[in-house]
Formats: sequence, C-alpha cells, structure tokens
Amino acid sequence: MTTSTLLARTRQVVGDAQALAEGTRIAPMVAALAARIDEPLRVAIAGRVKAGKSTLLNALVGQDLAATDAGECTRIVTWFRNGPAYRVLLFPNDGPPAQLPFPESGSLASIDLAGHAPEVVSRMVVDWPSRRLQAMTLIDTPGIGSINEEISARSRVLLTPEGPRGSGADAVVYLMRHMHTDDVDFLEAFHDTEGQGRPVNTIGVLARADEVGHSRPDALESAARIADRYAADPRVRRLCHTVVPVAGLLASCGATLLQSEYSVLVRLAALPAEAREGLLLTTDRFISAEAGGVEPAARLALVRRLGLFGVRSAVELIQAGEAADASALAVHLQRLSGITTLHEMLTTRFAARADVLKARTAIQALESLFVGSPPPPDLRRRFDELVAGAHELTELRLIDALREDPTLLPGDDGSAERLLGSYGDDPRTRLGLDATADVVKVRETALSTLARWQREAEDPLATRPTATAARILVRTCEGMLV
Amino acid sequence: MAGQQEGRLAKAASTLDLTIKGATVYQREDLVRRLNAAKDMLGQPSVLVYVVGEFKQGKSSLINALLTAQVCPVDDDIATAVPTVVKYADEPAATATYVTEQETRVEKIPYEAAAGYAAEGDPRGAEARAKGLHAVQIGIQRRLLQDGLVLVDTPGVGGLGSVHTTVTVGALPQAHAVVFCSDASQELTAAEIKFLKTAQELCPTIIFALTKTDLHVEWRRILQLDLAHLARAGVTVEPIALSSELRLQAARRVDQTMNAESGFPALVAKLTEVVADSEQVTLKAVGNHVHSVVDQLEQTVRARQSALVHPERTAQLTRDIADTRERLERLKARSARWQTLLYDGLADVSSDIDHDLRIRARGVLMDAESAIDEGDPAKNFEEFASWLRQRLAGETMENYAELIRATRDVAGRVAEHFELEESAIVVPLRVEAPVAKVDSLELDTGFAVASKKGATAMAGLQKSYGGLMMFTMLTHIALLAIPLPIGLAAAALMGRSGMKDDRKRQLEQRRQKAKLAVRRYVDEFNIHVGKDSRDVIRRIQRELRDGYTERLDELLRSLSEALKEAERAVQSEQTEQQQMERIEADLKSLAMLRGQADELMTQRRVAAA
Repeated sequence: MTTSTLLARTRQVVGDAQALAEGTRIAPMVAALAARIDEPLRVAIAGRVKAGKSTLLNALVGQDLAATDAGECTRIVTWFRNGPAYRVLLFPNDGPPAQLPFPESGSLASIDLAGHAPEVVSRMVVDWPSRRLQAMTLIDTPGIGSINEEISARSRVLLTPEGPRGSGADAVVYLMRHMHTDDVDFLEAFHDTEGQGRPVNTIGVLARADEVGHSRPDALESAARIADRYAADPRVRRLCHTVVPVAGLLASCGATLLQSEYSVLVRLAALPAEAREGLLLTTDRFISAEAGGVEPAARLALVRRLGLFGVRSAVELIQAGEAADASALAVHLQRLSGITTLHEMLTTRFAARADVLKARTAIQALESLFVGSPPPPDLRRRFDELVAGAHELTELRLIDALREDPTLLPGDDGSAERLLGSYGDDPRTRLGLDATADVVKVRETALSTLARWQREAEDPLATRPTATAARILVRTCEGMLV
Repeated sequence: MAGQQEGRLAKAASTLDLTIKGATVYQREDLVRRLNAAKDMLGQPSVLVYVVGEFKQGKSSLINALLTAQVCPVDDDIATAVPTVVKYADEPAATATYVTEQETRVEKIPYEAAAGYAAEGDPRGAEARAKGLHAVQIGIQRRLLQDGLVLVDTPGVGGLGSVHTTVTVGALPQAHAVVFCSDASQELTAAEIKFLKTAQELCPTIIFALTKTDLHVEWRRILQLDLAHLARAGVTVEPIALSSELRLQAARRVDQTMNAESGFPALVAKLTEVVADSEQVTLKAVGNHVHSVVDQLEQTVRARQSALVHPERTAQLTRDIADTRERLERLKARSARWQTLLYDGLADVSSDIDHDLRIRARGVLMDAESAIDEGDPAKNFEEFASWLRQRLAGETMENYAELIRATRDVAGRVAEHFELEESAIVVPLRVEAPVAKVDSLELDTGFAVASKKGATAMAGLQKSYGGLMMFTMLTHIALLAIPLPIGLAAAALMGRSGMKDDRKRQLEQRRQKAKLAVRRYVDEFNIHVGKDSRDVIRRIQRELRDGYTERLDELLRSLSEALKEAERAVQSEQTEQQQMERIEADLKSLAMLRGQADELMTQRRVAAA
C-alpha cells in the first residue's frame, strides 16, 4: 500500500514549506504543523454533559486520571499524551503556559490550578508515561448542552472547524446516551466542512449502556440492539462510522479493580439470597441497610465506582464461579462493558488509518495557510501534485459520499465501503476475504472485483457521479494488483 | 374519598337547582341562563395534568407506576410517539383519535393493544400513525382518577424522531399542572431549564419529578444541584423524588414500606391537592354565582317588604326610585369608562403583540439569511426548512404567551371597575397559538432542485408537514433551547460550500433565490399569524364586552324589578298578612341558599394520602 508514502510525501511538502516560511509571520504555525505530523493520532472524546466522557477516558488509559463526579465536572479541555515523565501544563488564554505540580493522588480531581480560574484556561496538557497513550493522544472535553454556556462553547471551539487554528482533533469518539437532537446538531457542525469531521473518523458510543432499560439484567443486550439501530439509521450513518455500546463504569472499574473491592464483592455474594436481593434493590438500600460483614462505607464506595448494575453483575459473576479472583473479575467486567470492542476499533480502524488522517489534517491546514499567504509557484505545484496523487484521500471522500447518499452506487451491496478500506486497510479485509486467504486468491478476487466496477463505470446508463465513484473503486482494485 | 367528592359536587348542583327554581319564580330568565352555564361547568370536572420531559426520562413508567397498570408504552429503546390520555372509566377501554385533512375520527381499539399504538417502533403504532393517529385515550378504573384527574403522557422532546411527533402543547395553558420528569443520572441541561421556564409561564403548578432514584446513588446531590439551577433561573417547582421501579415492586409484593420508599405517596398527595384545588376553584365560582343571584333576588324581595312594612309607603317608594336612578346613572357612567378601558387596553395589546411578532420574525429572517450566506442552499435544504419552521413556530408560541398575559391583564383591570370577585372576572376561554399555520405555509424550494436528492426529500417533507398536522410545541420550545447560538445552528444545517470559482456565480444565484423564498415565507408568516392574533384579540374583546354587559344588564334589571315589586306590593289584592308571610318565606330560602353557597366556597377537602 502507499499510505506510508502519502504521509512521507506530505511530510516533505510541509518540510519545504517550513524552510520557506523561516523567519516569517507564519513560521510558528508551519513548525507546529511539521511537529504534528510525527505526533500520535489525536482522538477527542466528546458528547453531551454527563455522557461519561471522563469515565471512558479513564477506562481507555487504564488509570483514574480524569476527574469524575455525579455533577458536571470536566470544565477544561484536557489532553492526555504519552510523555517521559508525569507533568501537567496549563495553557491560559493569554500568557505563557504554566507547569502545575502533579497531584499526589494521581487523579486530576484534586488538581490545584495555581490561581487560574477555569474560564481563562484554554487547555491543560497532561503527560503520562503509558503504553496505551503511545498510539494516540486522548482529549477530554467538557460536555455540550451544559447549563454553563461557556463550557459547552469551549468544546465546540476545539471540535468544530470554526475554532482558531483549525480543529485540534484528527478523530472523534462521540458519546451519546440516546441519540438526541443536540447530538445530531453537534455532529453535523463538526462534520460539516470539507475535512475535519467525517463519518470515517467519528465513532459513536452509546454510553452508560448499563443504565439502559432501567439497568435490568438484560440492559447490555438492549444497549447493543439500540446501538445497532442507531448505526443503521441514515441520519446517524451520515455522521458516525458506527455506534458501539459501552458501560463506562464497568470499563473503568474493570481497568482499575482493587483487591479490597473484590473481597467486598465476594462477601456480598456470600450473603443469603433474600438479604442480597433486598440489598441490591435500590442504591439507598444498598448503602444503608443492615448486611452482615460489609460496612456501609465500603458499600457506598463500591456502588459509586461500579454502579448498581455493575455490583449486581459482579456479584452474579462471582456466584456463578466465573470470577475466581480479582483479575478474572476485571477481565469479565471489561469484556461486558464493551470497552474491549471500542479499543479494538480504535486500534484497527483509527490507528491503522492514522497516517492518512494525519496527512489529511496536515494537507488541510497547509491549504488554509496558503489562502492567507500564497506560496511560491513551485511549492504550490508540488502541493497540488500531492493532493492530486493522494488516492487515499479520494477513498475517504468516497466513503463519506456513500454515507451521505447510499444511492450513489445503485449496484452496491455494502462491499464498496469495505473495498475502500472502511473496516480495515488490509487487502484481504478490503476484498472481504479470510485472513488466511493466499496470494492467488487475493489476486483473483481483486481481478473479479475490478471487472465488476469497471462494468459499472462504463455502463452507458450510469449517471456521472455513479461512474466517477465506480472509477475510484476501479483504481483501488488496481492499487491492490500492482 | 369518592363519596365525599360526589357529595360536594352533588351539593353544588342541588344548590344551583334550588337557586334556578327561585330565579324562575321571579321570572328572571337571565339569571337562570347564567346558573345553567354554571351547572355545565360542574358537569365536566376534568383536571388535566401533563407529564412532560425529555425523552427516555421515565415519563411513561411514571404513569404506569402511579396507576400500577401498563397503560403507557415502556421500552428500553423505543419511545412514546403520540400522547396518551389516561382517565377514569368503570371498565378498561381504549380509543384512538385519528386526525386527517378531511376529518377527525375516534375509533375503539383493544385495551391491551393501546400501549402499542402509542409506541414509536410498534408496527401497529406505525400503521396507525400513517393513518393520522393523533392521540390514544385510555380509560381505567383507578381511585386516583375518579375525581376527574386526567393524565397525559407526552412524547419526549429532543429525540431523533421528535421533530415530527405531534403533541399539542398549545394546550399547556389549559393544564392544571405539569409533571416534569428528569432522571437522577445527571443534572438538568440547558434545554430542560429553558423548557421549564416557558412552561412556568403557561401553567401555574409544576411538579418536578426526579425519576430513577433507585439506580443512582447520588440522587440527593443531583436533586440539590437541580434545585439550585432552577432557583438561579427563577423557576419555582415542587420537587418529588421517585422510583417507578420500586413502586411497581411494592405493588407486586403488597409492601407499604417499599411503596413509601418509592416516593409515590407524595406524588399522589400532590395530585390530589391539584384536583382539590381545581375543584375548589369551580366550587368557588359556583358559590359566587349563587351569591350574586341571591343578592339580586333578595333586593327585589326587600323592596317589596319595605313597601309593605313601612306606613309611609309612598315616601319610601320615591326614595327608592331616586336611589335606583342614581345607581343606574352611576353604572352608566361606569359603563362608558369600562368600555373605553377595554377598547384602549386591547388596542394597545394588539399593536404591541403585532410589533413583537414582527421583531421576532425579523430576527429569524436575519439569522436565516446569514445562514444562507455562509452555505449552499442546495445542500441540506430540508433540514434548513424544518429549522425555519420550528424557529417560527417557537416564536409564535412565545408571542402568544405574551398575548395571553397582556389580555388577562386588561381583563383584570376592567374587572376592578366593577369591584368584581376574582372568580367572576370574565376570562377569554381558549386561545391557541396558530403554530399549525406555520406548517401550512409553503416554502418555495425551486432552487434546491439542483440536487436530485434534495428535491425528493423536499417533496416528502412537504407531505409530512402538510395538512392538519399539529406542531409539537414542546418540541419546539426544547429545540429552540439547543445551546448553540441559533445562527450557528442554522449555518451548521446549511451545507457549507466547497465550490470552485466557476460555480460561484451559480451558488450566488441559488443564495439569492433561497433568500427570496425565505423572505416570502416570513412575509406570509407575518400576514397569517398577525391576522390570527388580531382576530384572537378581537374575539377576546367581544367576549369580554358581552360578558361584562350581561352582568350589567342583570344588575340593571334587578334594580327595576325591585322597583316594580314595590309598586306591585302597594297595589296588591292580597292581604298584607299573606304578602308578609310569603316575603318572610322567600327571604328565608334565600338566606339558606346563601348559606349553602358559603359552605361550598369555604369547605376544603381533606387531602387523601
């Protein structure tokens, strides 16, 4: 494939621009652009207030880093990136960044902003040595739909193209509880330019899946059904790549389960059935009723961490003998929560496409820079060549176009999007073949697929947009054959 | 409870009957008419309580738990699609109301299937909605509903499907109370607060139900946060924390402690209070009518009595005539003044409201035009059109809230002139914002034809929006509250242009055409809605004038009757003794009626638990 070369070519053009811009007004911007190409993919976690963004972030990092609370809590856009040492940098709206002491608790819940009001802080950057952050930088955002207009506005600035210096994120994980018109508006605003947010780089998450259907035992199955329905809804398809259910509390607790918590759960599981059921009926009963051996304070801490559904599930798992120790329970909780699926999706879909997405971000940024300060003809020509030669970008655009108008390719049975690499970049995945398929098989399939789209492209009755789309698919097949 | 209730209303009815008899004897058909109207009022004691809130906040569950019956659709995923009206019936029964362009039709449906009809995803419901299903009515035998309480489950606002749902919350001003549901999983959002603010202006009692308290350990804190937000927004509510799940469990296990824990007894008490309050208002009005009729009848009797009792009859009569004349003069003078007050007051209102509407329409127009300038009308025009409609419908709603407030004010000021009791104030009955008008207006979309897809979607939109389909007021209010600055929202809806230079000119043309269409549309809007609001004000004026004139005529007639009676007494063939006996008897029964009326007005029902 040519993905790496696209990024390499982009890097080269940006490098040339940087050399040219030396000493001019735009030098810092081009330098930032150049630096960004080599940074990991930036994934923003966005959504309405209280959708569980920080909880999900903690689950993804595997550490209780971001502050979480029952009330509205995240007020500052916070970046979490891999770094050599623990460090917190705070960027005020004006003035130089300030380094803050890292809280001893290890959680930003207790961070001291050193006299800065949250309103005047543009963002906070947390360096945290973590394997999980190597692949992508995560950005936690305040919720939209907040009572506090200013807080909501801040996320929008970061995530929508109106923001200064373009969008900060390459891809977005969008959390919703139920699809709300606010969500659609937001996603539309984010997605509504040539570039930044497109369905290809937005994953929808049906968050707080454990609270669906009043947390009855089948809550997660219901949540999966709802997520599937959303993913198939044309209004949502236009905005998100797909929708997956995630129970944030289960995920973050699963990632950081303590032995002490496990032993409390074991003691709860050992209670007589009637007492246990009475206890697990409501949270009020759970934290106040008499229960042999488990003190109320421990129960309160547990239900805060895990939620009532989480406690019920954990107790059930222990009773069924499926969680013989804390780590086994943690694995079960993580699997139940759906975070494993999300993580896989981020690594297979986003990370695999990271280079293309980053190249695209850089190309767009460069283009908008050129509007203000036209480049010399030579650089302009090389830039145009770069854009014209980037079939990867064309593919992305076609995926978006197909999402926008499913009738674009009348003969399509869903394989076109797969062929364009929507579900993975590997030729076998693109052609819908087994991972074990041999080279001959790959070649044969590619040839037949090529012939198929060739026919579509040359169909005299096809409209121009259809023919164009089919030609793009033909070229994709050709790329696999050379 | 029911017995007591019936007793009170029956007593009110029998008091009215007696008074009607008395008035008939005195040949005062004008008073009889008024008393009959009051009797009609007793006949329909429905107390409307709307259950509202964003979608998936447990509105339907709340009603089901309250009545411990599966009357409203509850599902993990699908939401309520049409309003469900639940009222008392001796036998379980259900009907569906269909509204099409031609007719309004009510059909019996199986009780067990009723919840399905109201649900979003149910095939039967989808079929029924395709036929124009407007609402589902369910009758169920429950003590709580026996006193006329009617619960209305509404489709939630903010959902993906909600743009097209049909709730008429133009009816909100007629609701006796609103139960607003918000679950304990998170504090109130900006949209919810904005909704509550508007609801408060339209409905006197707002019960704030914090639902799903069984699931969320921090519900007390959430409640605190919510109340703090509401206090800051200046919204007064009656908070009740509820767990529908627990109530249903309690009903299954017949466990009173658990029922108490669910928080529902507080809600039941509150609703009973609302019913009692509204009944109190009705009874007070009945009492007032009886009082005023008794006063007028008594005046006649007394005139006759004084003519008989006092020897200097002639002198007394002359004095009475003089008095009467003086009172007539005074009232005439007053009548001139109140008429001026009414006309001037409403003329002011009319011009204010018209101005307000124009300002609002202009604001919308400006936002729409700047959105068009930033985007390409050929893209996403259907979303943009529906945004425009919603925005205008919302503005209409707010404009009408203003209208209702202002006319009530004028009616109150006129009433002061008559020194009338509060309940005797003539209040305009039904005022509904003409939001449906916004729908029926046509938005020219010729320029969007450029995109094939846009064109077909547009036709579909026209269809689904056309006809008698009513706008969802709740939805609009909430949609307006989308915390994006409205202009930005519109711009976001309008496809951003990514055109090359050579297409710029075409784009510019499309923009011009789109602007023209929007301007025309807003003009139409101004004309139609403006006309409607002027009509409404004129109607109110007529109603107020007729109402007050009737009262005046009654008073005048009473005075002249009194005069006649006195004269008749002097000339009567009957013996003085006979006449006096009859007068005594009449006065006694009038006093008794007055006593009964007093009783009606002061008695308060003991709130049932």
